[in-house]
Amino acid sequence: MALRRTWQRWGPGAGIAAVGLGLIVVAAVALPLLWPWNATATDFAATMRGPSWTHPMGTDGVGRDVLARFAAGARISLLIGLVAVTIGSLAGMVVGVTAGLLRGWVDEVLMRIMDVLMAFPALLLAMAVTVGLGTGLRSATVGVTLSVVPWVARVARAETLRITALPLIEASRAIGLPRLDLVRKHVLPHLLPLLIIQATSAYGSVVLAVAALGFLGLGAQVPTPEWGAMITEGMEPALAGAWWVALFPGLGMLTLVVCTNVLSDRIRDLMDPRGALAGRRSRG
Amino acid sequence: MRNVRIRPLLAATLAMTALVAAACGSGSTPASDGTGDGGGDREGPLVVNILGAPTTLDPAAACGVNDMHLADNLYARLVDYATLPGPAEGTTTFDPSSFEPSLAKSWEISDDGLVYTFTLPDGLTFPSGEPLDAAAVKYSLDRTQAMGLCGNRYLNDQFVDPPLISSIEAVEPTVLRITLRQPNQNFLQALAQPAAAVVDPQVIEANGGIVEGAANEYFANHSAGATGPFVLEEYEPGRSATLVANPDFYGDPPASERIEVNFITDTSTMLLQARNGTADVTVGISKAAARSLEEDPCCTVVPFSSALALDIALNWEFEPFANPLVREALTYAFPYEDMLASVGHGYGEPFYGPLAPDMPGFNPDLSEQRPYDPDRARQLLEDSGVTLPLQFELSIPAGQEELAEFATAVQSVLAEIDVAVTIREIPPAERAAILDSGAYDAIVIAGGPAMVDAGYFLAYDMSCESPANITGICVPEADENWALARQTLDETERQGHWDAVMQAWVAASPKLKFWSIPAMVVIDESMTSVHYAIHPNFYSWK
Repeated sequence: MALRRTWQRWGPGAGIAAVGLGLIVVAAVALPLLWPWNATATDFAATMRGPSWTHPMGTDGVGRDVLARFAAGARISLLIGLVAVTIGSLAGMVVGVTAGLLRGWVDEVLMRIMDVLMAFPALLLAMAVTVGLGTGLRSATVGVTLSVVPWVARVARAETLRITALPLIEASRAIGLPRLDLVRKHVLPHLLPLLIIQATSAYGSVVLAVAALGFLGLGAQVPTPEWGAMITEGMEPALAGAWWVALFPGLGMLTLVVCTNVLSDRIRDLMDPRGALAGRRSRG
Repeated sequence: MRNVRIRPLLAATLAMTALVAAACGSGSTPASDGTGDGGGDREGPLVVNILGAPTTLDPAAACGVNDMHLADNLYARLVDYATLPGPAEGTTTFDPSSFEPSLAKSWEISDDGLVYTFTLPDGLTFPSGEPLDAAAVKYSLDRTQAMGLCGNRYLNDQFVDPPLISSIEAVEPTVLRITLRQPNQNFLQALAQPAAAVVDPQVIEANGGIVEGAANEYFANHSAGATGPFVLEEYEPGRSATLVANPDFYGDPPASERIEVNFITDTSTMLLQARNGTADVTVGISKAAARSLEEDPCCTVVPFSSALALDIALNWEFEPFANPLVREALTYAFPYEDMLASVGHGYGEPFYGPLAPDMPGFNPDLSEQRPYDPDRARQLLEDSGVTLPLQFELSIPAGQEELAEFATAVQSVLAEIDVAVTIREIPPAERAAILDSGAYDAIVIAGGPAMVDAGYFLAYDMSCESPANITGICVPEADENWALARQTLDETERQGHWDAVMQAWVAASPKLKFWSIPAMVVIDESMTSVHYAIHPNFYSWK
């Protein structure tokens, strides 16, 4: 009954997306433990083999198992997405809440910095960071994390301003509630759902940005099995008939991004008071 | 976050899907309609796609082979390489050890090998109307030396201080005399280089003249006078050039009236355009792409001999590599044949020695590749006293998938003998600086000299004293014989010196050598004549 209620509440689209995302998570977590092939081990006797029972996603130009690399790439994408979104959201929240609470010159300075960061398209900002810090997954993660911060900060600031204008907060201030307690007891509980919505909707974009950096050669370096880099590696083999090298990481990325976007939309519908389900929720 | 750009990669994903679909479909569909009767009856220009773009058109400033893509077509030289039959029907290739007259009708070399006297045809003129005579040739060669750029190194066969050329005299309008400081068995090849191109003095003087020690920026993108078989009709730096037959050329007109040359850096594009017939000739396609075209009716893949090789330069300043046992150990760690068949796609020939198999002076008996013997490699590492696991960084140029695959294979193979390799991708623009500064442990080098001569090549690849030595390798006994070989005119005696170089070099195991790299050319079925030279020469192409 509970499962059916959850299914009805989330809808079939979100259900399918959850299953898709779940499969990728399972592949990322379980395959490296269970699958006999290593993501970086080469086999010169089995290069560019098409999909088979032995290698369901085939092998690449140095005989590496594409399925093992696919799973390792999934782990990298999922993990970087999680790290970037979590750190970026927390940093954005601190900036936004600080600006909203303190106002004045602090607000001005912080938000102008956020404006500068927002002036650059996220991918361009991440590319600039990787060029500055040196190519690699670490600087790619820093770059995409930075791109998350201003968006969350703006939302957090706006929400902080809205909450602090409520009569309840004015009353709390009047009785001398310290500012930190005000944030802890009143601002954060109101902010969290919004931040979750922001973070989930950013997740897919972050994963794509990291893959784009890998695709351009600025992210993961050889021989790290990152999906974007794997697509680059597979471009020429695809033209030569070895379609499997690039196709599977491409499909994996497509699945991950679509599933997280569908789920984030649904989460927003469910959690956002102005979302599509707000009316149904208030009636029900 | 909604404006985070997801489009580029989505577009890439969709493009990949389309490419995959194209690739899947290509196997059964001939790219050409198959109606061509051959014989060069093409409509429109001959289209050549070539890997890499020149950074300059000035032959005196040309450094790498990319800078020489057009030079031999635009400029005359006193001599040219002789021609040999090519590996496929309708093809010919250049002979790096034999030369024939080009602008010069004939030449004589003095018995001591110091004086070269060239006879030029009478009555030649530039399009400007000025005489194309010995004085113009002297002006051109003097210009190359005075500018002191890469061309000077080629022209003087790496002897620049003091220069190999002692004097150049225009004895008569049709007689040019060049005197050398010491005998040099490679001087004729030096004169076949773009560095020895004949330029129009009037055009040069009208556009900035000669400034000692500096490049003339105007000629980076403009022709310095039409003396070769073609003239430059259009030039878009980094992208394309259109060559048309030079009506004032002193020889027979070229086989094709008009040639469009596209400079391409993306090997996938080269593959697609070779397959769909957009390009009549594709020069420098990747090995993987070439292998995929072997069975395709669209075209013929022709691997031409070259003096290029794939190797890993070990930095002797990096402490473990100063130990000869460590270097020797690594040479036994690789299954060369298996690696060549997989990451080398079967093109090339394994060898171990300073000279690639197609380099004059190469001796196959002294250049056998080391056998794959991981136990021996482990034992040598243990004997060397080096701390295991041995860790080092292997640098490769960024964005070159073939080398990335190769480096991955190296990493995987060496892991089996307790050697941990970290791969470092370096921007191609930084490669020279990294080599100069020695800021690397080991670096993959896929290439070879722009002048096919062992003396010239080892001047920058082995010579102890040469400032041009890019890897800092020094094998004294080999070095002595290298110096002697360069001055020895007798072929048998010279080969003796090269053999001594090879023996001393191999005994020192100074670097890792893998296999020779042929030059990959893809020829459309409409082509009836293609000549391969280290600097492309379209004169006979049709």
